[in-house]
Amino acid sequence: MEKGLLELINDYRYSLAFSLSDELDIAGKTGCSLQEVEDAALSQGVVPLRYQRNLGAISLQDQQRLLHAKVSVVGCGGLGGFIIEELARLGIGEISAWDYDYFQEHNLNRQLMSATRLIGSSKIEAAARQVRRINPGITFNGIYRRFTGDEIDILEQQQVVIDALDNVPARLELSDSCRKLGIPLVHGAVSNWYGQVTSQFPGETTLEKIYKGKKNYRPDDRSVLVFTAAVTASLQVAEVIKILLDKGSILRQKLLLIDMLAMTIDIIEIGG
Amino acid sequence: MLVTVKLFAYLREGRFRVSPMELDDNCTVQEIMEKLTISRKEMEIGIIMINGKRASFDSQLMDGDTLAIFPPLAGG
Repeated sequence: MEKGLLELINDYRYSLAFSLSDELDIAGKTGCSLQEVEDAALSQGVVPLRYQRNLGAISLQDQQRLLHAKVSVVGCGGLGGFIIEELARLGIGEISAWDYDYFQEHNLNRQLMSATRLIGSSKIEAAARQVRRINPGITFNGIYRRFTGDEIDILEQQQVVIDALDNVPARLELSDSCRKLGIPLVHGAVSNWYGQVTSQFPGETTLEKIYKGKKNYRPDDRSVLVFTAAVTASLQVAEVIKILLDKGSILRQKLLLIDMLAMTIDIIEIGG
Repeated sequence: MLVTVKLFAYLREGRFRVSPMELDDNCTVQEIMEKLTISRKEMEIGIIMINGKRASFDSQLMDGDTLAIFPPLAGG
């Protein structure tokens, strides 16, 4: 009789490595997806090699929680590209990413997923390809549309939403949608050498306080350096992981401000 | 009177990060911004704090206060 999924995984219980080829082998034999194989493996205490160096920093149970997590990234530009890359490497089970836009040459200075041969092609498609290349054991949903606030149903079921947008009106709409749905929102914004990050929980109005409800702000300076985007995006992802795993200190009602020119980090209280 | 002024992000460029400022009594945030040539339009959605508490353009400063001015960041 052929062996089932758990029996096949149990054969790896005492082996030092459960590699992608082992996973593919079991997936082929059982008809399960890689995600199902990895989930079953983690349940049995067998660690897929790709997650081996996550363990220690997080537990095996934490890794499995990440594999069950659903996270939305709204905006696939400078921030969104780095965020999606990191979520995929961390093993977030289901990543949904929003963008309606196509790569232009002026994205090449900072947008991780952009490349000269991709000028004119979809940012979401580039992100989907990159996620498949990095981690075929997770699910990527591309949402080819601009976030306007009318799409609240698409955000339902998400555990965390990430604000990687590039304008104040859409950020405030997203904040409002997350509040209505009771979903934590991790906000990041960048300009020039400077970035900011905060996490807004249901019932809070941190973004409205930061932007004071002014909906027509358009900055004159649209410069962003690549490391500003990378650092800010990474801080956002760290917030997402801590929220999902209920660990550490979160920037709740606090705004973290990074100045990469002066090399300073300040945290200010955004209370009443 | 003497107040401490802290500037953040691009407001630091060509100005300072932290500096004491000698001002007339009852000086407002707006008047300090004018001295520092910070545009009111830009700061309409920025954050102004006096001693860590939210303040406005019309807020008056007292001797020993710390004023912090954060410009808006919105890019992605």
